[in-house]
Amino acid sequence: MTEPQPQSRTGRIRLVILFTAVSVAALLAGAWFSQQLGTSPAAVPEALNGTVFPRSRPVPSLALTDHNGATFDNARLKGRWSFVFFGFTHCPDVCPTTLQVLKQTYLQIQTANTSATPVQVIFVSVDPNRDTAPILKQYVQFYNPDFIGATAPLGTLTPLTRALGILYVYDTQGRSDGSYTVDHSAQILLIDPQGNWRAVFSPPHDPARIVDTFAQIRQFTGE
Amino acid sequence: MKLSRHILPSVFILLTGCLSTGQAAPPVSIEQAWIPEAPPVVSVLAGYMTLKNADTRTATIMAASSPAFGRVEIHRTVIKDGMASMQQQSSLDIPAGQSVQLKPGGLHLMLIEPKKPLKQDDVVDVQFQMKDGSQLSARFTVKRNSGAGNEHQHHH
Repeated sequence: MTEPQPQSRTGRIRLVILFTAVSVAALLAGAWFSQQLGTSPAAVPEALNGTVFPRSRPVPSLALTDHNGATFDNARLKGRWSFVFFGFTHCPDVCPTTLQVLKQTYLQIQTANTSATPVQVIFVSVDPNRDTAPILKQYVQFYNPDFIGATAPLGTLTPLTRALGILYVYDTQGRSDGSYTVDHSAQILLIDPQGNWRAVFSPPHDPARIVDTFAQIRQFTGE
Repeated sequence: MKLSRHILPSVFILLTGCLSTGQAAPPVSIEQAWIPEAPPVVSVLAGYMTLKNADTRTATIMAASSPAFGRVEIHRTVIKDGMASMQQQSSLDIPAGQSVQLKPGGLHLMLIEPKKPLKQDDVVDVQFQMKDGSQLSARFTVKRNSGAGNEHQHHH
């Protein structure tokens, strides 16, 4: 009765082997992931956790058009830090508020450190049908003449925003007059001077906090 | 006799004063009504203000309009999981004895189709239709948004 059957003993051994194999695989996977993600505590200063990626992430191939009608591709991200915000000009609250934050941030960074790697601010419209180049130009330059407005047809934008963790959804709010708003991610992305995605700032945004965090990121990356 | 001759006209004036406005001084007041100056190209602006209700009953705004805009709506910005959306409000309650703040990143007026581009120091009037049938009016000043737009957070 209490003597285990041969098959069940074999079964138990098989189970143990399976369990061991799964555990080892899990451990290896864990080690690999932690190496990939660089989750060791020393990798990113604690203050930057949740903002900075331990390893920069590639930015997919860019095919945007800027507010002057010129191509905005990955080459235009090289050699400078880029703050990128996605929005649309028919957005009365979040977008102007965020651009105001970016204006303050940009001014503070410019005045604090004139010899460091340059910084640029890019506003990407997720409403290309309404936000034409001339509209984008007037819009971004109201905040700062250095700011860049860019957009692309939705078919080009969507794979890009998806890769950068940005969502946008057109919302007619039950209107029948054809008007709509766009719900969109309110994060500010930071691209490093190699053109790789390095950090993400989450709302609500505050210029002092962004400037401070950015200074730490510069120190951490040595750029 | 002399007294009544003086008092009666005053009472009459007071009464007509009350009658003409329908009610006594409106229990809801509007302060710090402003519009952040926006790029001249935009077709939608935001309006912010502080509403104070001195009454013992909830006051409710049912609609808003302005001669300076094609349409005025009340919206709330909601940021959930980093995603910002605007939720139109069919009405806005100001609870008894309380104040409600319309400010960047939260409740705001959506001022649609400005009749002309608005510049700093321009003033526009906005009318609010209250649930009790009364009307409330406020003068909004266009201001350059000097701070972060969320200045209040600095003090907390």
